Amino acid sequence: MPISGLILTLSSNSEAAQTALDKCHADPQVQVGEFVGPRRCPITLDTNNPEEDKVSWQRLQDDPGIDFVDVVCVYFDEDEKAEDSTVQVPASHSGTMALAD
Amino acid sequence: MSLMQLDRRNFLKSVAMATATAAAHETFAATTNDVSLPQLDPKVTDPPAIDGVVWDKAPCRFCGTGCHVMVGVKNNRVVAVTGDRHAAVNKGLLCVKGYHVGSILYGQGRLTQPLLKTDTGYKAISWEEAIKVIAKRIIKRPKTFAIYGSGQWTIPEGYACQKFIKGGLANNHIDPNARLCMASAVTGFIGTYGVDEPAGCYDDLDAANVIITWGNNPAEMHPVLFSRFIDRRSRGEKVTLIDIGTRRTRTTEQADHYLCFNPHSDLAIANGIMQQLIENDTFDKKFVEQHCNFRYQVDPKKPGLKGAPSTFEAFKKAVAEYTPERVEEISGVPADKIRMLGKLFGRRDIRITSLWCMGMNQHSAGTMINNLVHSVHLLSGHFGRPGDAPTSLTGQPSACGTAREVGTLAHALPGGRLVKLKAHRQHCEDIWNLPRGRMNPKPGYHTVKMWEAFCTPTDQPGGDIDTIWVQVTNPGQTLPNLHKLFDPKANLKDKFLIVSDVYPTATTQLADLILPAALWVEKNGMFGNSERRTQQWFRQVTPPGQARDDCWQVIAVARAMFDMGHEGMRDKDGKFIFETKDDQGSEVPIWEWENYYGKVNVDEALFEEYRKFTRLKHKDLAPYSEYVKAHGLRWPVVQQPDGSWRETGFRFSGFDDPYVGKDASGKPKEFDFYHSTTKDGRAQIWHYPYLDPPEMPDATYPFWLCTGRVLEHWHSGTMTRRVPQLARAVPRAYVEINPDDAKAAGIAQGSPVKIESRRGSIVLPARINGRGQPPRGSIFVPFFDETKLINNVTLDVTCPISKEPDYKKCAVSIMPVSTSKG
Ligand code: SF4
Repeated sequence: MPISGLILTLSSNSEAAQTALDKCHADPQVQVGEFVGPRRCPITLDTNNPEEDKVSWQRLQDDPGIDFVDVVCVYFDEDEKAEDSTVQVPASHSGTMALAD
Repeated sequence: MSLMQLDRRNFLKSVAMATATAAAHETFAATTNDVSLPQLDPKVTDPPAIDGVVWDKAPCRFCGTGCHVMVGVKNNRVVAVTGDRHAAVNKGLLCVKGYHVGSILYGQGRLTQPLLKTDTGYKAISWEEAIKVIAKRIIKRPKTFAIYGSGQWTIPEGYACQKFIKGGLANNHIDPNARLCMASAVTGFIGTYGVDEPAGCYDDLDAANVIITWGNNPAEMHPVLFSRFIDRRSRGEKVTLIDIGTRRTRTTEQADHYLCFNPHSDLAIANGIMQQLIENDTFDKKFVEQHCNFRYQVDPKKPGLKGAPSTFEAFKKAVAEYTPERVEEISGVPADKIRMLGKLFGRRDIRITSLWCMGMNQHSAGTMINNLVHSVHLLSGHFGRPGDAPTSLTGQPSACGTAREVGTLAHALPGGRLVKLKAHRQHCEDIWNLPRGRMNPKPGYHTVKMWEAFCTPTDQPGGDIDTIWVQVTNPGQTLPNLHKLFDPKANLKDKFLIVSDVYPTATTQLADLILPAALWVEKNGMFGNSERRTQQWFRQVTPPGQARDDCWQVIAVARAMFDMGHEGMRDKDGKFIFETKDDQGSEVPIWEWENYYGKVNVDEALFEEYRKFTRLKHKDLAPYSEYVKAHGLRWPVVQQPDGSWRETGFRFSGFDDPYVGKDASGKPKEFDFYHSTTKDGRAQIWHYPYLDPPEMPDATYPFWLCTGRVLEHWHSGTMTRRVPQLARAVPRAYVEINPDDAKAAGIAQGSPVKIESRRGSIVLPARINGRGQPPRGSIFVPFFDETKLINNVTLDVTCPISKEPDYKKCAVSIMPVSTSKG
């Protein structure tokens, strides 16, 4: 699963920002780096599966103590095979299309 | 997890942390000149050295922001993506879509073989067969053939299509999806400055004191640009954000002022600001006297691109009725807020940047609202200094570079030329070495008309398009009023739809021939982003199966037609119109796939030819080799006496734009609109009244419907819905409803709601108090979901000048759908 480097911009509301930061510190998937300026904080996110990745992302995005999430880098596992997605191949095409290996 | 795997993950994590820390320092230092920042770990190279990973640059495949990424490839597979710290556009940052840009290549269901529809289903055929089928069909009826593309075409791809259809077939039926998203911005720029595309650039966002978003949600749609603003604020800079919108969004969350307006009434708001500037006598007299003319529409119900000349007195009289109180009545925005906007624009000590995208473009008065927002900036003199800019953003990665600059529009030719002008056609004929008079002076069909003609029986009037070749877009999902403009194709047996794409889509469902296409770094490419920046990249991995470049597909068809004797595929010397020679002067058969990435770089050859077109409108491009070295360059790119190439950040401003004329003392003028429609170096300040939109809520359809996008998905979701993380984050479309409206209608969170318009209906789950929050009387539906086609409901009314449809407002009803079986 991807390992990513992100920058969080914490809220100017210091109470909300501190709560968000505490949650990050308590999350084993998140490693918190050193602040750059008063509100910008680099972190890494390392999740086990897409579901966890989604949950972590959503939590960061929706946290009232976090104003913004910037992505800096993402490393995929090169052994990772193309995963199933929730997209349905249009019914009229099923079984007749040549799909990637 | 083995020890080795663990070590590797720990190593990658340390690299990720170092890279994120470095990028945070980079953005911080870039804007504070803080030299006392801590030293970075010298072990971290840029891009990071990871075993066996080879890095190369590319622009992000998604939105028009045009972020630069470094792509890490191992064993012919993209394994890593990092923001490019050396790129001025994004300074190492990406958004959630950029995060997953590498995964779009590896979703389930890539198309890997040409497929021909037969009575029993799709049959896999060879490329040779597919090319022959297309060539024969076009040769039989070249005038009823059309190409439909988008701002996702690379510059060379769009250019090859232009040359093929307009130069080769003498047929102008080519239009891009860009018609549906930024055509009104184009006509707005042309009507105001005489030439398309923004004068300013992203640097404005670093210098503005006030940023105004007009029906725009950059926090979700252009996140990396929004991040510049967030970054400035995080460092304690005072930047005021004013969100003028029809629903609350993530942008609103950061705004100092939110002005919620009734759909369409942005026209009244812009007029109201200008009324205040005049009433308070705070407009910029010097700027207006020296650099502006006034214009108006003689009949506002039948507006034209150029309108008619007016005077300051007539203008003053025309805007006088838009008092703050009157504007409040029309728009719902409190009069005090209109006064606040008037005061801000009246200040000379601050810099103001306006941003907009689809909200102002997908508008039945799209050209006019674009004209008015430019006019607000011109009248107030908030123009042309860093931070003072009216700037439109684009949704597609090369809407500017390909659709607008290459001109893949039914009325346009490369480099800002027009098919209707004989001199412009002759330029093309000369550069393309075609016989004079070959090109067709009649503009082709714009998007809506093209699809209307395709979906009308051939033997009926108006049914005169019978073959469309779609590349890099998904009209089966994105056209308005799909029941009229796309669905009838299913029963019209003599119509033939060719679709080149990477995944099955709503459009391939009705295709007669499906061609598998290469995607992003599976091919060479060039894009042009929203700030006039042209970017280049090389192929880094090979496409799966038999997927091939769109550009190769067009050249191969052209060559098959040449071999079949079609005169249009020959230049005036009888040579193939895409003839390409190697360094030794020998022709390379680039129409054979094995030679396409061989002795010559086809992108370079096409770009060098295209570049000759770019001088006329002062959109000069540098040689291809300069783009290989650079992180994109903003045109005009002009060669300096020392042989280097210099880009331009601020057009029409004497301090930066080399094409600004000189004054009597020989110094560059402060401003010069050197493509002025009035040929006097002046821009046009417009008046246009507020008129009711073509469809408004009534007793039967009492709600406004607005459609748009979400952070996680790009355009019609064809690529992002194949990225599991993005698909799972927002798997399906939904309808945002105000909690009071939901309560009144008996609609609960997540329950199914039927949305019905005069054109069609759809059932979607309700989302109440979600990310976007419409006011009472309005609903919002994202359009990314191909299983829930909201465009069966939308209106196909277009702006009368730009012909861009209005996806942002129509009248609908909503009702709960019972889920009980009984
Ligand atoms: S802002 Fe646009 S160009 Fe930049 S990473 Fe996000 S989707 Fe890509």
